[in-house]
Amino acid sequence: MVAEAEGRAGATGMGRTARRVSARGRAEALRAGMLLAPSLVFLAAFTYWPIGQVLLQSFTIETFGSKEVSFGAGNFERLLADASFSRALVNNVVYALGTIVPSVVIALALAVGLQDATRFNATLRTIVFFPVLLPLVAAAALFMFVFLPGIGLLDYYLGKLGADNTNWLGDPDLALWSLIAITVWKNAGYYMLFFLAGLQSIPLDLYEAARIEGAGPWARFRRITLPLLGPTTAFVLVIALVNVITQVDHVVVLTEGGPSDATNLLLFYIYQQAHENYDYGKAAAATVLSVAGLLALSFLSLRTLERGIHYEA
Amino acid sequence: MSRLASAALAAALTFSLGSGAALAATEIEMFFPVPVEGKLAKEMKNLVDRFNAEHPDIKATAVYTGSYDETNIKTRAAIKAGRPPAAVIMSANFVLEYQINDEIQPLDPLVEADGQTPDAFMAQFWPALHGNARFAEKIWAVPFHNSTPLLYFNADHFREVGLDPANPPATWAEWVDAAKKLTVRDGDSIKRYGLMIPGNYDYLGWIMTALTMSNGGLYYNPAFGGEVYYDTPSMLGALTLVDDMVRKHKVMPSGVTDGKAVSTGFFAGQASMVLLSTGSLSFIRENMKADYGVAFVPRNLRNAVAIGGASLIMPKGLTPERQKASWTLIKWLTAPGCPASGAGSPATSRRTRAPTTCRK
Amino acid sequence: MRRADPSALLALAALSAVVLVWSTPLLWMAVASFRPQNFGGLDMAALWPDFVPTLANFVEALESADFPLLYLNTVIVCAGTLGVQLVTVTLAGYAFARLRFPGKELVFYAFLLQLMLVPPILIVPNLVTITRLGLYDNLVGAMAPYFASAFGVFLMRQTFRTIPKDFEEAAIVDGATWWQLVWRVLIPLARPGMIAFGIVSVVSHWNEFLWPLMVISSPDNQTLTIGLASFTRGAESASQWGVIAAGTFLVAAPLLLAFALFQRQFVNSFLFSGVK
Repeated sequence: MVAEAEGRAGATGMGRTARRVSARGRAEALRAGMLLAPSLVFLAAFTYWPIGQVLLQSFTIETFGSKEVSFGAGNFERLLADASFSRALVNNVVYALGTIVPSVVIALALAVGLQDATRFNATLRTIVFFPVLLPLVAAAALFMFVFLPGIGLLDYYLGKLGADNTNWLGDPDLALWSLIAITVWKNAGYYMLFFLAGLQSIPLDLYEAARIEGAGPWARFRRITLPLLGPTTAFVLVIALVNVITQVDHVVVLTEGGPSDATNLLLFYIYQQAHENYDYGKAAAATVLSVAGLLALSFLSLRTLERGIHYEA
Repeated sequence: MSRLASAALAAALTFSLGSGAALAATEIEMFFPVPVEGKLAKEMKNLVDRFNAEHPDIKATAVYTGSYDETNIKTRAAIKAGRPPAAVIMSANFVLEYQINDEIQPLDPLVEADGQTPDAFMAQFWPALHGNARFAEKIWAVPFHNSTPLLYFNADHFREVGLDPANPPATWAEWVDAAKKLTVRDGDSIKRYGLMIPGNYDYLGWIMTALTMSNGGLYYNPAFGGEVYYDTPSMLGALTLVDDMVRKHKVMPSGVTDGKAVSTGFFAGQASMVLLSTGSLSFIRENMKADYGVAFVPRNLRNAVAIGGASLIMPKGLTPERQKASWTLIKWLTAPGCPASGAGSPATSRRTRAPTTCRK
Repeated sequence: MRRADPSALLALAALSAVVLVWSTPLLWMAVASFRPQNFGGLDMAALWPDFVPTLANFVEALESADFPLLYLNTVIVCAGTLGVQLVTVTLAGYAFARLRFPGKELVFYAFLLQLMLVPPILIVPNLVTITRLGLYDNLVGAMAPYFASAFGVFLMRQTFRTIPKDFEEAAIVDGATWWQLVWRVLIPLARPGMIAFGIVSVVSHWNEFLWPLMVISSPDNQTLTIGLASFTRGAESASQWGVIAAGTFLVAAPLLLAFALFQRQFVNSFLFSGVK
């Protein structure tokens, strides 16, 4: 039963595009074109046009205050020679490793634990989702209070347990870990949402059948929930991967990359180059590299994860 | 609702009649950031409403544009998109870049059109403010919300350790001495810091600049703004002072202390002395429960601080009418007697009431 | 919950620990927003309300901005964006999940590109485009860049792929056209995914700050976060934590309420899965 459902879920897997262009195939391709068109119009205006601009900019060499331009790979050379860029890259890798796995695991555990329709669970789901609802402009100030040395929420209660004051965001050795903690706190509820939605499409009778066969909760989770959540997990992991680069403004505003570049992440590096240093060429080059990296990583993870869906169970 | 609709219709008709309609007010936008907490956005709106009431031929709109940085980004993006605002309250840090990029209007022709010489115009402002406004032989900005770093101290703490609040530290040596006396220790842990300095982003840069100047130095070449100094003896001396406060004397927290943490620490009695902007003065005056005092930033060689805050600039690419309307607004906001700090707008006055800002 | 099961008890304990960590900042915000302003105290972090509650923080926050107008504009932006998005993402998500066409994989990754661009780099090109379209300082200008959503398309693609094909096959046997198939079978079954997307879309546009700040100028068109930012984000010095907490509640409360209502849909949608 499980295996059967699996096979179906994977039947339209990516890469299985039509080999023969028959009349039916053409009609289907035309229909696909029509369905994609509305999205493509807006993507062309607000994604592909800026990407074109960024690509052009990345190979354009300008001097501040001068109108002369030339073309070449100079921006990329300067970027790769910039110690702050490599620092941002390393920080981002640490940040990615520190946030993706814990937040996705906690999210999955919470979704499975809170999926039953009780009032208690509904309340807990709302509490866990609350961090996602916080507006960035206020969240920065609130997180700052939580981490305020001596007076803030964390130190106040740790102090009652006898701990000394800690400069959570201002100590170069701690700051990145504080940001990682906030990110896990904030993202777990976010990813839980998709797992909750994914869990809904698993037919209940599968669980009934497994229970009759004598499978325990862990076996049911491993043999039914996990494999059938495959598409959702693939989605969450790819989104989590993209988010560690593009959606980190919540933490960036707290430390502005400091102290001493300890929390400089790629997003902030690009922001700094574009809007503080007016080095649009370097910002564009960094954007091109980060988009290329994300594209490659997403491709690899989707390939791996969705192949897993085909053959597992 | 219908009144609103008919007003909109009337406005649209007036607009469609074009420049022929003598009654149409010139519409201008002014971008402004909110540098300090409070209801400044609301106060700015009231101020501009007053301006509009006094000038029926101009309809100015005050547009809140976030922090100094966001105001800068929005202004730049609006210029690139061909929609430059008529005036911007721009962080003084950024004015030079607009001038280098040829994106702002030199104000000399407008001053001269008023029958005034640029020298006479600038003479209305305190000389300390000139560097931010007039450079490269022209006037590029009008000083508005300017500020300097200021030493705030808890007078109760001073008396408690035998220091005289009437004679706050004036030299670096006295400063270090006071900070050492004010620090309260419990074994290795520090219960109260003698001094806190904001360490976030550009705040620390501004403070370091002030300390370098107090140490007899400069932080950039006044004749060529593109040249900055990081390794002059005067700057290294300022750095050593701060480093000693943290590591040698252990009277200041290590790492970065955010500006918000500094003021909260000061309110809570966790820090006895703090360096903060003059822009925080009225907020501290309104909310500080303990007795406190203020003093000039202590000197090593001379009393000097860097001007910060924001100035009014006018982007290029405005029509002559909008340029004229914008100039009227800029002059009105910075007029002698500071209408911007009038009784109707206490919050706006946080900056303008600072002694350096009003015209003489 | 089966109380006899020791592993269930263990799970419950872990769950309670997680919930404690998640609810503490929320609780602090609630307490702080009703705490009288006290700048001299060290007990600002106390979670136990040991004071006479006051509405002063809310009053001050409400006075700082024209909240009814801000709510209205924000609702318009969120509803308008989501309305268009639901159409574009459902259509494209279906195409990627169920149809075969040449270059499908390539087009899919071309969609995903939208997710990978960092927002700061988009400001200038998109503002130029919006201005050319005549949408500067217009609420539509705040929405337009989000009308296509790679995120939504990806989520809908995964959602449609989770739905077993025999539902569709049954409908095809009954003589349904592909359009009826989408409308009567797939969309009802995809409800949980669409609701999850709706929640994410509304939350992100409700809280968005930088792009509305760039594209909107007239105070009549401003959105909630801009009003909130005007008093939570002074560039220099002191913070009024109580007012910030109160303002945050004013902004987040409608979302919290909406989430509490809508998340039950995840549970109720079991009813739909039963429909064949």
